[in-house]
Amino acid sequence: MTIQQPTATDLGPALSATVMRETSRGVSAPLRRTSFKTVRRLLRTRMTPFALAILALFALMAVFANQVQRYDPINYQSYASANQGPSLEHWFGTDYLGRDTWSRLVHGSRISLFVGVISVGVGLILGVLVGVSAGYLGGKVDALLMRCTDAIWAFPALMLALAITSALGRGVVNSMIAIGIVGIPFYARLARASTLAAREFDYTLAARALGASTPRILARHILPNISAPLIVQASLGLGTAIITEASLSFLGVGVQPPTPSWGLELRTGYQYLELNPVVAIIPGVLIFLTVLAFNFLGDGLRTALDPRLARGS
Amino acid sequence: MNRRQLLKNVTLGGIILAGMPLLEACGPAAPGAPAKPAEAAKPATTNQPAGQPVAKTVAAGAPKRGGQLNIVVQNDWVTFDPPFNTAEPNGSNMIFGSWMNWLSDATGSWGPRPDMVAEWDAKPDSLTLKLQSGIKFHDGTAWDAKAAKWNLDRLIFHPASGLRASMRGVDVATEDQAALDKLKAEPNGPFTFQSKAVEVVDDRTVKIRLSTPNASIVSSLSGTGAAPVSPDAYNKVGKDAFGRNPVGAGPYRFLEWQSGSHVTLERNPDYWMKAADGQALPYLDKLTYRLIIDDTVRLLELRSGSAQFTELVQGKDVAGMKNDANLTLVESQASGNNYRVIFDSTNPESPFRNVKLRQAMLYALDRDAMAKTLGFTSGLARKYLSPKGSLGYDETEQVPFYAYDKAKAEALVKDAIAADRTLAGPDGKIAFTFSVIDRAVDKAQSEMIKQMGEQVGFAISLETLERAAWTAKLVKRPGQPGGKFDMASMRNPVTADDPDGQWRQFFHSLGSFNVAHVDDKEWDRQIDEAAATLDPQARKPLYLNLEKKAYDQAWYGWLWQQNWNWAFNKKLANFQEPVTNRWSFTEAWLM
Amino acid sequence: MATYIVQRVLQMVPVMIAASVFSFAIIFLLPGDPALLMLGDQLASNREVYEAKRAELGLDRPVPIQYLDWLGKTVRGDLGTSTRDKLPVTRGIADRLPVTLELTVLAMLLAFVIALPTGIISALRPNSRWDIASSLLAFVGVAVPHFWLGILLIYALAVAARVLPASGYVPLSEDLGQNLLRMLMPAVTLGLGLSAILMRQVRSSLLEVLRQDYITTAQAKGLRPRLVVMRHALRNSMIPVVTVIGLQVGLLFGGAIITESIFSIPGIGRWAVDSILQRDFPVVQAVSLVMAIGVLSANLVTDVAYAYIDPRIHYR
Repeated sequence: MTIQQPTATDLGPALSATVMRETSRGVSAPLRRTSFKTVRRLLRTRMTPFALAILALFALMAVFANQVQRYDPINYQSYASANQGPSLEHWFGTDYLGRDTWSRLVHGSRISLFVGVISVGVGLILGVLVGVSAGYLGGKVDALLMRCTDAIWAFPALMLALAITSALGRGVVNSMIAIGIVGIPFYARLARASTLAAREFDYTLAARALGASTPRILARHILPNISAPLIVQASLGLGTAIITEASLSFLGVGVQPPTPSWGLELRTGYQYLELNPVVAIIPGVLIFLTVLAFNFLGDGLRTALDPRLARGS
Repeated sequence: MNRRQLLKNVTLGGIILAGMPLLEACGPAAPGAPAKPAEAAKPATTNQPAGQPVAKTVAAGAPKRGGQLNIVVQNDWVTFDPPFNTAEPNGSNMIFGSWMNWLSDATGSWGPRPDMVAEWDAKPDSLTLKLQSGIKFHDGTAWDAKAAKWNLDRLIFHPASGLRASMRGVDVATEDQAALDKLKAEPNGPFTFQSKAVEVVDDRTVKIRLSTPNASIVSSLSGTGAAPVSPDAYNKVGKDAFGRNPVGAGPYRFLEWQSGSHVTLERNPDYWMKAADGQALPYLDKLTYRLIIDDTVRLLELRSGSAQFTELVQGKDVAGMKNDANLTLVESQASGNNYRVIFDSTNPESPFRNVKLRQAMLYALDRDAMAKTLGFTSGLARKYLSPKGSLGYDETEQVPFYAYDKAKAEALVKDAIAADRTLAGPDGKIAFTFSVIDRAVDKAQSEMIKQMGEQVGFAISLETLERAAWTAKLVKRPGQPGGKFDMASMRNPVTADDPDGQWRQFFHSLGSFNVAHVDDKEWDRQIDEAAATLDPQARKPLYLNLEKKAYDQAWYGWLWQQNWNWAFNKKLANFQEPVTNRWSFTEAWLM
Repeated sequence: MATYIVQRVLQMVPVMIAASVFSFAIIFLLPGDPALLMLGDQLASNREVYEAKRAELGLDRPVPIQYLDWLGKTVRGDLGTSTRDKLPVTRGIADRLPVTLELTVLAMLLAFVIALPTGIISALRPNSRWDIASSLLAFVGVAVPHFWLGILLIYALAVAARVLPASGYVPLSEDLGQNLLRMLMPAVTLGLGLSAILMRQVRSSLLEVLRQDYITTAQAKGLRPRLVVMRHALRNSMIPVVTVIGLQVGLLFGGAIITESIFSIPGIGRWAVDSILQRDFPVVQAVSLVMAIGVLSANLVTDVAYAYIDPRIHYR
């Protein structure tokens, strides 16, 4: 279920503009200068160190998958020892073809994290493009872009992702595109609202009066101001993307066998629930921990990047 | 859907374990129902002569009336009109009954038994059917020669009838072409075509004229796809509506069909067949068939008691089931879900245009491992197209078959590359795409095959497709893309029945599922010849010859089969082992 | 106010049009031939029949014309016929939509029942152990992949403990008890995530309201303590909560897809998945449109309700 914590922007574009106006007034300079303070604040937020630790762990696992694995996750098949529970030989047991579950999950982290990052990246970049254009250019362009974005947002995310992967063909790459497209409305709306606010700032107006070119204005004044809420949203979006990828793999249209992914292992676990319940439980735990970590991180970032606190410290 | 048609054609056959003595008995010498010499049992039903069906489960005590049986099924329904049904006919046989029924007897041999046809006479140039008297359809109309003729005409001549191929040999030369054209133009309205090939002899007898002998016509008529329907009901509402409101003469009447959810049938109080003691049949009040696609969930329903019957329990679940005190499992090796691979030898871009590479792939596969890993205790490795017990099966195993031989496979691949360097990619491996249907077992199997293939020098990329997309990719259609692939896998129910169905479907140039794109006049001729030979002794070598040819060409690879099984609650008494999915609850009751 | 409503409705129209275009266009993206699928393999091999079907479906005309044709039919209530079971799509929707609605409503009810008391207590005792614990649980609730939760529930309650039936659906009209029994696990699966979000929302909006001057004034004026104040505070704080629910409708539909698949519930979500995978184009088109309209309407109602309650919020 692609549930996000509701941000101000979810509660209506007008409200978000108000909020943005309120909170952004204090930020008149790019984030760079206050980044050290931000990081300190981030780390002081309760659960963030825990979140970062988990993410670091999984990232390391993904990067060093080949070293951490104990058997080849795809090619080592041992039919005689299929569907076994955890043992010293196989820490998480074996799957239906006798492959080592631990190794498959370790490699699965690669796919899951990779898919998460790329799809959020796709959604973010496209969403920012759409949102900033709409917010900055206004008028008919705004209306057209926002109507289309709203139309995409009207379809349940999973169904849209499913339709897109069915259209493009199954597999990792197309899943990433699908999840990315599905995420565009979130980032677009956010970017647009922030752009609308940033457009009215004194220094932006001044820059325009001085005849600065549009790209310069966008780069120096608009983008830095919208990055804070976008970063927060992206962090939460990573969790959502991972769950969506797992959902697509669970339905059979995401990652294809024999490539391992957490979602695919969960599907296998569901099919072999009685014989080998471990395979159904562990991938879910991993997904859960990852999403939890991203959510904590997002929450921490939100607190850390809140300019109201910036004024205080 | 071609696979569904295949299933239909196959189930039309039924099972023959001991061969054709029954059909022999039906030959010119002995009109009337066949009697096997070894049988001496008293008729269990008053309408059946010697050789009655034997229940596989012990009936405890006297039959109890009433109750509702909840059945959970795996496949969705498309229509209930038998000749147009391309999906599983769950429940269909209970609504309709059949011309003849396929059952086994005390000696374990399977064959046609009288049902709505009391006696029949199969000759090379005709098939005469004498109908059972006293049968009425659920709407009150009579089962007589007129109704029988109407049904036969529809099976043979309707453009969308799935039985046209199996009713081969019918003498269609004298038909009214204008009437046929009219039928083709309006296939969905009332069926009013009257053929010349099917004659009404008297009130209870019809005769079908054949221009070529058809050895499998009786088995075709015994299948679920041929089941008789009420002509009145069909003509009143037309094709599509009738498919949703079927009217037959079976032990249960159609009550409702909730799309994607369930089908309910209720007892037919006027059913013609009586039990051994003269009691009215059936015993149960209601049958509900619920659709649950997932295997695991189906089994859970059975375990929790909310359902009492299901079929095709996956191999992995069979072991767990055996531990459950409330459930019992009946398994049959004579029928199974057969897994096979297909190569596209007609695709000029595929490495499998080369027969040596097809052979290499077939040598590379360890069928026993697949049967064991995927089918568990219910898996059986296969050597030939025909299963054990079929007329076309070689018990001596003299006909060559492919077995696991890694060294041979590697050698063949090396030779092929040496002869033609363009076959291999830069990594020295021969690359191809393996198209697989999106089903759990098929996908697991494909992973095994990929690994086995890559060990002998192939580089395989797996492509999973939905049924519709898979069919579109494999089947050649005029003016359509598709019909080009490298290797694909499929699964197909096979029973030890008349071999013609299988060979025709897959190897005949007009076969309804000829996905290997075989187009060879000599093949066609030999298949037709075998189908027209009535003498089983003469037929058998013809089929063994076909097996040898199939081995030489290696267009298909026979892998393993999952034995058919039926799982039900022990409370269900007197359930007979059926032919694949034609489960009969006519004489069953709930204790 | 009236202008706001009219404005929002007018805004919705182009979005609906865009959504309808997407719904329609999907069949051109999905590989597969509608005529072939409707006829089935056997009939389709007959060239004439095939061409006739294509003409009947209007597949030989230019795409924009096909779209307008489809749109016209849709507006008049003719959503086409399913290629799989040959029934009118409207009938399929009529059969399945109530099921999904029941699931969604039960999930929302459940979420409310969990979130309301938890959120209130958290707001009344901020930063207490209870508050921290429930906040943590809320995080957890959002992070759990709901289909994993479904599997775990099935395993724990249906396989291991055997207390609940694993799946299936018994219509309300048939047997209320059985219906609810079978909907229990699916509702929990779907509703848990929502309850986590709601809990956080209840807490934060209640906290917000409690900080307001008028609450402090009321307390200072000696109004009967927390209980009475609570009622006022609660009422005002419910607004953002309700709007959040409204906005989650789309996500609930999405969640229903997998939940229905796991628990074999014949709802519209599972129908959508099956139709997409089996290329049942008329159903895909119709269901996408229905879902989109549902979400958009929920958003509209939410926005209007919000604007009604809070006059500060008016679209520029």
